[in-house]
Amino acid sequence: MSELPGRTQPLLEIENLHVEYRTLDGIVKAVNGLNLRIDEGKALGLVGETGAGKTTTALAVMKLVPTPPGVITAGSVRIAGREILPLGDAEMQHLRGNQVSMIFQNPMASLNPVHDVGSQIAEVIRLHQGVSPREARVRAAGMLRAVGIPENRAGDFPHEFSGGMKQRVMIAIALACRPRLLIADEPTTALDVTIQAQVIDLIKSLKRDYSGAQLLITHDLGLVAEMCDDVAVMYAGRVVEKADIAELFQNPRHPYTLGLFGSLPNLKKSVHRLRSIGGLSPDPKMLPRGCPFHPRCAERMDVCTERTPSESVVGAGHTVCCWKYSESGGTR
Amino acid sequence: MKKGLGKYVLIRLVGAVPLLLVVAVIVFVLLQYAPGDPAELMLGMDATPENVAQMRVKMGLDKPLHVQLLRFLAGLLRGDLGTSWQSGRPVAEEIGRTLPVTAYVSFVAIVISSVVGVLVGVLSAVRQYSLVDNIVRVVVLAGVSMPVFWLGLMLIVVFSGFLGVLPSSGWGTPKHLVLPAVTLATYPLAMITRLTRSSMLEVIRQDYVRTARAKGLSMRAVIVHHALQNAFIPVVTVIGIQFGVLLAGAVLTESVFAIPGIGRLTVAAVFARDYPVIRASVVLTAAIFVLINLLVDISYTYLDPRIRYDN
Repeated sequence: MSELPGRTQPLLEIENLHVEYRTLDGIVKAVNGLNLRIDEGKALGLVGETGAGKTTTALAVMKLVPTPPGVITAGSVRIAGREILPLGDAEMQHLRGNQVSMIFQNPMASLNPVHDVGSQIAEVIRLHQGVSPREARVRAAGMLRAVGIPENRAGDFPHEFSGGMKQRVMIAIALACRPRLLIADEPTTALDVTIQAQVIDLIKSLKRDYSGAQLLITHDLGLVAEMCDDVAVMYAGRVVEKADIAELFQNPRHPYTLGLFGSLPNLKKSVHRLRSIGGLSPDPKMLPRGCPFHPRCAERMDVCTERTPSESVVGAGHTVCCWKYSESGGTR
Repeated sequence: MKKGLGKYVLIRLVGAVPLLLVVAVIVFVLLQYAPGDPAELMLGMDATPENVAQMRVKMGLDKPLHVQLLRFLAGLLRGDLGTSWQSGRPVAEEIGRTLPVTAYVSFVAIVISSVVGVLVGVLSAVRQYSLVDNIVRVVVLAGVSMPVFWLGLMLIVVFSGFLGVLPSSGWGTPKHLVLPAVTLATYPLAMITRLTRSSMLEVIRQDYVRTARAKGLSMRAVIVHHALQNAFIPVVTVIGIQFGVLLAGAVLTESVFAIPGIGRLTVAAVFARDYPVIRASVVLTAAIFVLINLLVDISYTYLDPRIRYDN
């Protein structure tokens, strides 16, 4: 890349994204005005509790939000400068698996049980690279080797593999066409701890060779620290704080982020109980007025219950959505 | 052929022999409890006791029951189904005359219902809650609930009566096949459509379907290459069962359309207490079910690699 060091071209830019699920019980507002940016070659960790809208965000980038009931109601998603939300099926099919790939949370169920793994990898290669079936099989075998599975297992079926190996196969499928953006949605959550480390190492080592930018979705701050350049903390469908990894870990600002760090165990201190953030994440069918975190926030001000805070810059590349840091904002 | 499949088939076939013998014993015993003396029925109201006694000897009914049973079983094992008391012809000949007719109609009916049922079921699932899906669900409900004989009569009224384009009964030309095949196909068609729809709906919510979409495959390619094979297993099971039911003789349909099939043969035999024919057709039906189940089980190994019979 020829850009200036430090600030390269954005590969993924999400602006003001809104996604909702229209169910019989009401409208579930999963993503509410999310802003995100990943630069070429960078890895961004998207952190948040279950239900914060992380997976929906990822699916929106693939335009795979299940519809109905899901609808992308507003916003902009640009991949390498190209707006994708207006694109039709055919154009999205060209992007998926090719320019943008995704690794899913549950490797046990993510592979088709009736096809052998070799053909499942070869399928994506044939689709996007226009090679002969034979050549696709050869390249698929190469991908298997790259993820540490012997080539001679290409003819085996998913049920003949362990969970960790299935996730390796998923990684092989996702990286087979060298995507510019790899989305990994909790890639290790369903795996044993020992296998988790192997899969993380694998993604890290393959990233250099196979993929441009990376969006890692997780609730594991340790994983983010190990794998990412930047972090975005998500709460109730919005990014409430983002910064590069060193900045965020040394200098977290948003009360929610502080709460997340506060709930991590400290190996140097012996504590009776881990601290947790009081309350529950809000029901996305009935989001509170104002800042969605205010019912749980210890530093709540009057304005927090009235109006939603916008982004305030608190450091180099470090932004927070909180009235505490807003110049125009509230008073104590 | 898959590994171990030949041996598995052999074991299943050998295992079917005692099963069919048990079926034969049961049908033999049950017939003893049927009211009415076959010899009397055969001779009519004004037969003398002497005539009846003569007839019983001729039919072998004078022998002790266990002797009759053993004769019947020994005959079965030799492949000898006996002689029809009513027509005096070998039972094998009677079945050889009627079974192909039933098999022909049943085959046409099951092919129609499988092809149409799977196509419509898939379409209905992919467009869940659309107008097409709603219409399909109503029609399917009607198809499952409609009595076969009534449907047959209505078809005759419309196509033979009003339109006059198809024969109302009889057998022999391809035209004779149409109405019975459609009548017979209706219930299995409705069942297969409904099952394909629900099975498909379940499969297209699976994670691997999302994976396939994430690869950049079109919805059509995902359905054809990823969903269909997975959704097909319960459907094959039902196709097999329905085919067995049709082959066992669609008594009502064969009666409505006056088709010389095995269903009518069996019913006529029941009324005449023609034991050899009843016994043979019951054992034959059991054998057909055994065979079809075996075929269904074999087809599983081709649909789902997790199902294997080689251990």
